[in-house]
Amino acid sequence: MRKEYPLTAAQNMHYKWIKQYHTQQVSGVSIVASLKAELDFGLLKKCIQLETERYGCLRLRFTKPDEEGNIKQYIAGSDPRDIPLKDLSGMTLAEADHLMQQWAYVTMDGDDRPMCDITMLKLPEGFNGFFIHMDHRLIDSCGLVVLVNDLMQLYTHFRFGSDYPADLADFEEVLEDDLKKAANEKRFAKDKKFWDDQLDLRGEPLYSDIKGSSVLEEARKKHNDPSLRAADIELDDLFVKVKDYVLEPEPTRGLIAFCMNHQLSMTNLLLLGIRTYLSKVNNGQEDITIENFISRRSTHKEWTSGGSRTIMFPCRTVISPDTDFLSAAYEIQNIQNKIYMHSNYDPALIYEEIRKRYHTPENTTYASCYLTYQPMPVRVDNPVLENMQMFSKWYSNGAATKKMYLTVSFTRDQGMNFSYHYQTAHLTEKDMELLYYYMMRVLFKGISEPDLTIGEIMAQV
Amino acid sequence: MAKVDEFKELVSQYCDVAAEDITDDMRFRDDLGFTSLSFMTFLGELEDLLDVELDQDKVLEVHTVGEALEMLETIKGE
Repeated sequence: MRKEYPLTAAQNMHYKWIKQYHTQQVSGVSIVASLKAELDFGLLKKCIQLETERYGCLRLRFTKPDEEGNIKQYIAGSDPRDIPLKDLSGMTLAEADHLMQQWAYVTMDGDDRPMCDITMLKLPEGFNGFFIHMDHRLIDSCGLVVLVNDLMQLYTHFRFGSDYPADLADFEEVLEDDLKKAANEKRFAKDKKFWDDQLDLRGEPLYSDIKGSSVLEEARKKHNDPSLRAADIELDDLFVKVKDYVLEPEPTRGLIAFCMNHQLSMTNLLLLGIRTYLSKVNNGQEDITIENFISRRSTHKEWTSGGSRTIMFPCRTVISPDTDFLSAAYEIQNIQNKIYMHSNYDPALIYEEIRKRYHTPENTTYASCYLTYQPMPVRVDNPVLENMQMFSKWYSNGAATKKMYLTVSFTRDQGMNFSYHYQTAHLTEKDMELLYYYMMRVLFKGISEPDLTIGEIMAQV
Repeated sequence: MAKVDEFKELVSQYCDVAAEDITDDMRFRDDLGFTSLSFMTFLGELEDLLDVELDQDKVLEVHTVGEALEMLETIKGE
């Protein structure tokens, strides 16, 4: 008899969005990885099939929802499907890119079915590789990078005789471990106390919008509640656009040096940049909440087990404009460190507690900005392939559950890429341009004069 | 001492150093490669493993393996 498991908190986060937005599209994740080289597709197919055996999360499936809408997960023993090969080499790269973007929009509907599709590709301009389309409940971006690297290592081992990749951790064992930790009553009580204490200390959070205070005012009118502190989320028009900005290597080095010299993490510096911008455009509002994604991968096993371990927690900052830039950064770091210690907690329970205490209306939120900082480069890390030209790209699933989702990662030349995913129903490219521009102004003003207060920086930028 | 062994065994799960090679003067971040996230996650797991309660502000002042062991000794003595 097959073993079934409940979803983890991270998986439940995605499942909750699927139910809330009535489409699996919000849980799609897609990537293409290719090399400018001839590939032995017969061998690549064997490697993909072997990878499916090695990386247990690829075989994860979900049961039909029960009467309460809850589902369970199980790992299929094998996946005998063929791996298709598609030839897009007759297209331009732009056309192939457009087609792959369409594939990323495809939903994986139904139960008891594979939630991972891998397609081998002949691409234009001599590139060859594969396209992976999965459900986020199976894997997060770190897990996908591990997958791509492991697959390429298998290929180069069989093709060129390089070392066989090291064993990956057993997905099922790590999943069982996670569920056991979540069921630890003492740990649960400590985590709950921490999150409840935050509400005891600061009361109900207050919404802040990228476009300013008018959004909260609108929500107050709509709900006929002048003291409402949350704003509505978009449920119907989920279309998303992506705007990328690259910060060159030289200024990036400046940010890194500041972090190193002051023992700060980049995530906290970025959170400070975003929250200061939000404060500036919301009439100096001091209470700002940003949702920050944490990739819960710390041990060796967690790094190589695959699975969906990324989860978001609210980073609430209440910073007076009299606070100097460096102290504000430390304030954020202090609270973030404590959040990390309690990151086994299910964030859905934080919002359940908030609703219970403050009777917040359904489908409202306190945050307009969501941040993911990815220090792990999205590239094939393989000495056999290091001199080959690569083309890899993440594709948006086209349906945003979040108003603005910023992913910060490193570029190949050690600059930083700021990728803004924004709901077109409410935001425009101009809004993203302003956000990026002021974020940079705030950050560089702050790191060059860390004694300036937040109020002074907001006035000067 | 069993708890020291347990402690070092747990540390080794988070870094590339074997438990027997972990020494008191090693710094979590610089020598063992811990990030803020992995260090705080480690401390949470340590609490569960040794059934102790760590002071969330004091743990932020811990930098080396020796300091962490000293903190645990103090908690045990309280």
